[in-house]
Amino acid sequence: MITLGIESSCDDTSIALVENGTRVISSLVSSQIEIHRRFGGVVPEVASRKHLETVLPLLRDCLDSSGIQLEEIGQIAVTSGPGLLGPLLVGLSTAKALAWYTGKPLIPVNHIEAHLTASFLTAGREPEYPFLGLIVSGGHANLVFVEGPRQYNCLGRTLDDAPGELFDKVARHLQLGYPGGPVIQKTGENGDQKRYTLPRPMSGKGYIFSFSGLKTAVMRVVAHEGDNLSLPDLCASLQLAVSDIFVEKVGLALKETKARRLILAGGVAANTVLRNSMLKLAKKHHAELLLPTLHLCTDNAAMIAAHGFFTAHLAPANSLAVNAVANWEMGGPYHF
Amino acid sequence: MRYLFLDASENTTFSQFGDGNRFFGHSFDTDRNLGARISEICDKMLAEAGCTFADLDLLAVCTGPGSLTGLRVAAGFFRTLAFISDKPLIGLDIFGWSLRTLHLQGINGEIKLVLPTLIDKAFVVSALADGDDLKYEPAQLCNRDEVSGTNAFSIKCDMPGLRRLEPTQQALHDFLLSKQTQGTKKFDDILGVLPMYVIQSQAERKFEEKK
Repeated sequence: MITLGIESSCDDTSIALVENGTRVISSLVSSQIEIHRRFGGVVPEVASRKHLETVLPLLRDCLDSSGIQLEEIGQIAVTSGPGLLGPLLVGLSTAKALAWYTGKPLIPVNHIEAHLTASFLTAGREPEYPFLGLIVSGGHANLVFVEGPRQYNCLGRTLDDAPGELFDKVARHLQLGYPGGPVIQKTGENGDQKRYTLPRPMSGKGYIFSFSGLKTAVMRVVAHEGDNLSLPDLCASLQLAVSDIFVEKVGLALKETKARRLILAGGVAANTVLRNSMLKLAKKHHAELLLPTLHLCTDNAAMIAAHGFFTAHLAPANSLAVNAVANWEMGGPYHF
Repeated sequence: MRYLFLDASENTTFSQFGDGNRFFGHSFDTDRNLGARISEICDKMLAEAGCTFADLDLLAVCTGPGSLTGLRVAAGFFRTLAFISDKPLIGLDIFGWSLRTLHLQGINGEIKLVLPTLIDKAFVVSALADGDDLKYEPAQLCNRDEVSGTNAFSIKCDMPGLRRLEPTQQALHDFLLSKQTQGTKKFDDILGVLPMYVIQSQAERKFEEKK
């Protein structure tokens, strides 16, 4: 069965076609990064406007380039939350028109849940349970034990900033550009990871994350070092600190849950330092690590389509009445 | 000729169906919930009309001014429908609808239309209505108290010194059925059916000020 996926939860408009939840037929993403760069972050009103302008041309291009006819599509999966409400509603109204007109099922998809499915999609496999999932992005740092489709046991989450948010704020402070994650990784490529001593907040305190203190510590280093500051060393030290935090918490979770499969997901999963740390950690715990391709780390509709395919049986019968929800919890009920 | 029109510019969503013999319209209390109810509204309208989507000849959607979220949901839904169903789509703004209402009431000549916004300002349109020929300039954002005069109208609200105007279902019906009204099936024109009179966000205003 072919699932059409639509994603518009933040600043990427995306349309994809995925067969049986495991094979990407077509996946198109239109990024708004250049538009939001001048504001130093995503402006919801501007994002909504751009999504509306972009979603239809992207849909047409996706159908045209794949050669798939609308009649061949079995169902429509759409991000219904969490995310920015205005942007979410643009994708949802587009998906509803498609479902209403064609009579195909509409599958509301939780965006964060779908990030976990992206790693299985990368491997061309169906999700296998249970597994441990770490979702790290601009809005999330969630460590979850996944027992089945839409069955999440949240072990821990951030008390304040998410790691992507931390990278954005530090990059803005250092005037490195936007988005922060890629520029910090590039700047720190040849830096000395141990040059600056940065804290590992919430170390030894179970599964709770906190990143705002790390941001403050970076700013203190910047102020203290003045002209002697080495940006490559600072960026390398920051990435190591972030990676160490996750290594400790995920290591603890692997030990306690005895999970034999680990999934890294979300935009920050594209970070090479974090990916390498997780590879070592998984090896140490004899766990399989599934990583999404870089293309599937960031927001995309392919993961929405794939997750929609594997959760279609849980979607409400009256899904055309589902609404967008800015703060939809993983595994939470569908909202009307 | 059968049409379905949707206006989501306010908290209450208005929809109207019409054909050569009749028209009817309903308001739906969709405050912050149009995203959930839009297909249900279309279902109800078509059921009352005794027809299906396939029977429609024209899709029409209000392009504002008004609630940007509501307008986007309606435009997103109707644009997609037009694209996949190959049915013509037309966007109608509230000023055009209001002028046609005045025209039906026999009010012609130089007209000013005022529609308040949430930011203590108002959209003001200067129009020249001469028989069937209705011309109007793009709306300007002005202070609310800047407009007065005998042929100045406030749309859907009371404002000091202005006559209140409610755009009518009859005017909408006449416009959508008139021979001059043609929706578009061309993809690029469908893309042009967007909420009008977008007010800059705070971030954009700050950015402009900095520049």
